Amino acid sequence: MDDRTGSTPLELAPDLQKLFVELYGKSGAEKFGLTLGDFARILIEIGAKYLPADAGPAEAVEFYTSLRVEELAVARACARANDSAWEAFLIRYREKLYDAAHAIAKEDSRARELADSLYADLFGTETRDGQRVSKLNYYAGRGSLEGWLRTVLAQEYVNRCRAERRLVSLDEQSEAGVQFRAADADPDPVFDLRLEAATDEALAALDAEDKFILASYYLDGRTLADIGRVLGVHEATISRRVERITDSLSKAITKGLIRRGMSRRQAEEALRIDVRDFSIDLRARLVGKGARNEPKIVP
Amino acid sequence: MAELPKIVWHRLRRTSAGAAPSPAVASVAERTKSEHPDANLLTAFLEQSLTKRERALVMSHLAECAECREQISLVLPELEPESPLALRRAQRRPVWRLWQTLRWGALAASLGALAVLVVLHHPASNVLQKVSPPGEPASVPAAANSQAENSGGTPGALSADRSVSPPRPSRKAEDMQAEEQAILRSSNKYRSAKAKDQPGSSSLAFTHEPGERVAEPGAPAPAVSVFRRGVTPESHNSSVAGGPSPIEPSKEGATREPLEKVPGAVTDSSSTQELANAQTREFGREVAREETAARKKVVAKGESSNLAEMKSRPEVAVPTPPASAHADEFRSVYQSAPTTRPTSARPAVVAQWTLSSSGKLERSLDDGRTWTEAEVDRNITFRALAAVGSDVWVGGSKGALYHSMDSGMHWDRVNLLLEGTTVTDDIIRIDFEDSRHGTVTTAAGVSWVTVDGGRHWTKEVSIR
Repeated sequence: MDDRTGSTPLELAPDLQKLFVELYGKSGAEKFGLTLGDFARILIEIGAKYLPADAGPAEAVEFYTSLRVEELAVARACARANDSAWEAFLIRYREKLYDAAHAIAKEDSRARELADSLYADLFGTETRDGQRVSKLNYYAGRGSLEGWLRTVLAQEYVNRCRAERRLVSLDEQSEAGVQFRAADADPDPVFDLRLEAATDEALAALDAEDKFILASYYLDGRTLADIGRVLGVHEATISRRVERITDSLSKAITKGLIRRGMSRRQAEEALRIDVRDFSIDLRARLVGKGARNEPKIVP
Repeated sequence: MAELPKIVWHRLRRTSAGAAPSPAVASVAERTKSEHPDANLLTAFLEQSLTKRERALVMSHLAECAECREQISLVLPELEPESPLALRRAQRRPVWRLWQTLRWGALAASLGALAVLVVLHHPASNVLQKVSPPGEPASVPAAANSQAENSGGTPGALSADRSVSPPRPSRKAEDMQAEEQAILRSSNKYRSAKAKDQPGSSSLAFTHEPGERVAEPGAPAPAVSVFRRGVTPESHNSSVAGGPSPIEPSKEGATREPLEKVPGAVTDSSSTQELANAQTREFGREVAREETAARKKVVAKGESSNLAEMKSRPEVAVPTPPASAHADEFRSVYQSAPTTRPTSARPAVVAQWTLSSSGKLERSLDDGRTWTEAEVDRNITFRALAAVGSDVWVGGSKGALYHSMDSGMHWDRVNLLLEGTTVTDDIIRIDFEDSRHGTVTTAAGVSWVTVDGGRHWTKEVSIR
């Protein structure tokens, strides 16, 4: 294969060679100063990172075909400081970057700071071995460049928040009037070991997606709409799934407890009631309204 | 929503927080927890472009990693807030409520259909439907037939076109425009007659929205975009010149008889109003017949090579005939648009937009997998873009600003006028927070603000 640079030609299967040439043409990398050899090396590097070792030729072809080659060309050419690539990048993504930063940080000044900081990383203010280090070199074309920029912004934002939390001064907090309360006397309730084991067993048997839905809804407090958007389904679907998962979990745990020697009644009681949890409405319990009227678990 | 047993909540929290899991899940948790997916994988996960195997791995990690879950929640773009009522309905919808809704929905639909039938069969409104913007069939030749099919039996113009003889040899674009203007003039005459008949009644033929965009003075009236907005050349010119233009006698077809001599009119002298009404209706029928004949010529020509001539006009936005590779996509988009009021067309397909490196506007109808260039204006290098739902704004060199309300099916040129002079500075930024409120910024640092979807613009001087 002619990589037009005179460097050592890459060894590729003929199918892949043909595909790479096709993708090179489709990407428009040539106008950004990327040769076929450069582009092929980029694709191979991405394939080495994301293709499984046992991937067959058909899988490899499908993988490379699914890449966003045009955006990949722009990103990698920008990483190499190509002016026309930067011009294209700025036209397409400059405003989107600031909008994404604003959506993440909510506040104007923080958003601008976040976006400007990422710009510097994308441009590559640091050098290593004489080469500019640009974050755009990490873009692999698996998703859209705009989505990747949003994800990187979100990562940067989360990192900054964590760093700020770690650097909080206790003296300043005290002066500001923040009250530091004592630790809870009993932070983690102690459960019956059989109950814990049955619960872990039931959770382990859950589908990863079901666990994700449960964690997002009950632990993170996400809305059904947000969860639906992540999974690409309507929120009503998520609502039904949450009901189904919770119901099936309760049944699985009850069965697990029965297998561990409890009677059905004992198992259901163990699952429902914890007398040390004072958030339960005792009046409702005493009146005997049943499980349906029990309050939702409030951590 | 169902309650989660407390024990489940605690165990779930422990595994998510990275606390020592029970032996049953130790290996899975340790493996997935230690490998946070990178930005490429998370992006591809959110865009549903991972392989099944990769998706399963990322999902199992996300199920147990609160940090990554937080990250993807930040990445999701914000949606418009739904009303609490809509949320409650989505979450819990008893079956009996569904039936009730369906019942009322069916009743409303039947009432609506009845109203449409009444309107369609009423003689006066029958004529009015025939004089809907003539530019539409000529500008969307590929969609004209499908629109006619979907129009629910709009009488006359469009549905009759399929039975006409094969298209005539092409004529010049100027002839087309002249004929279209003749149609409009005769329609205007009908409108003035009807207005005379019923003072104060609004014209239904061409809805002239107050404060529509002012065209460039002296520029030829764009055949497509202006007509689509329901602005006739006469009203268009009058908005520039500052007064209504006189109605010119039609140059087409039969001569007009004075109103008093229309045959079949009511002659009872005691009901002069009825006489005037009948005369007006008869006159309207004559106008409609002439328009139908003229429209046949216009549509026939539009389906021939004159499309290329229309495209060559600098400011006319003509949607491209569907390319063969995407014909099905485009056809479904055109067919989903309503027929008589294209300004309210809302294609069902959600489009994504971008600007290419060469300043061309590109659209994707498949979530960004493939992109096709949108035909707006070949002479313009676009530099700014904003899209809110199906409203798309794009701007670029020489003050060019275009707006589409239907995801790019039709485009209107918007000219920003400053003291009678069109702004020619490059447009470098467009921001729209919703379909009505937006700002356009030029390279000269001047911002133009609209609060009514682009009908009016106010200049703001930016402080830097």
